[in-house]
Amino acid sequence: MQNLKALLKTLLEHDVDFVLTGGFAAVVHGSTLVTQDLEICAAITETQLAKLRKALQNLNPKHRMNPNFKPSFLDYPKAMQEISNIYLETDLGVLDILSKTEPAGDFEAIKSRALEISLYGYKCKVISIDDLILVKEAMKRPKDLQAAHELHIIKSKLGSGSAN
Amino acid sequence: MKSENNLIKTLVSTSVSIEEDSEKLLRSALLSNLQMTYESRIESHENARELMNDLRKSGEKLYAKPQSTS
Repeated sequence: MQNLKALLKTLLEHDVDFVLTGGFAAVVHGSTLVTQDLEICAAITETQLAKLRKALQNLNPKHRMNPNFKPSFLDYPKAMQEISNIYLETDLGVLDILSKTEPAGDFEAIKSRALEISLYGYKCKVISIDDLILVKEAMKRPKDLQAAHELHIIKSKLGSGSAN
Repeated sequence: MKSENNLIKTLVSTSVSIEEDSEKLLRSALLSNLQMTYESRIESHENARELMNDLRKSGEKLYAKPQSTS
């Protein structure tokens, strides 16, 4: 049963240090678009991998880049390697973990400008509306351009701030 | 020729109107979302996502090839 809300709550409950990005961040900012995955930006370090594994341990997390070979995220990567992005499927839905989101920058840059909101009793960082517009416009796919269009309208309605 | 011009005018006019209406409806939906809490926005999104996925599954069943009975 896919449940992106529950997947997000799991990450918050396990104190994973991340910034919510992608379509789900657009939803938090007020977009009407529907997304089928949860995308986060995080520093992919030993500590973060351990936290992510603990958070996802009962959700059958598997790498989904290669349809013919989907090893468990709990087993792979074994040692810290040079990893930029991790693309997973879990029992609660798809989770993409990105170390940077161009052209907005890497985790630290995105985090420094992120909006911090209260969600389900936890603090959750959400990519700023300006960064999200940059990212969506750079991707140029029709659905991303539509998201950017909506975010521009939201921004104009809110002045320079965002969300509620 | 004149009636063709009128027809084109009507089509262009209708098309512009649909675009304008669509933009107005979008702005109205966004404003409505902005009045919701963050958690309600997520809840609303998840309901919409579930509905979309259910509809997709129904569509797949509808157009699935019938199983051979032999």
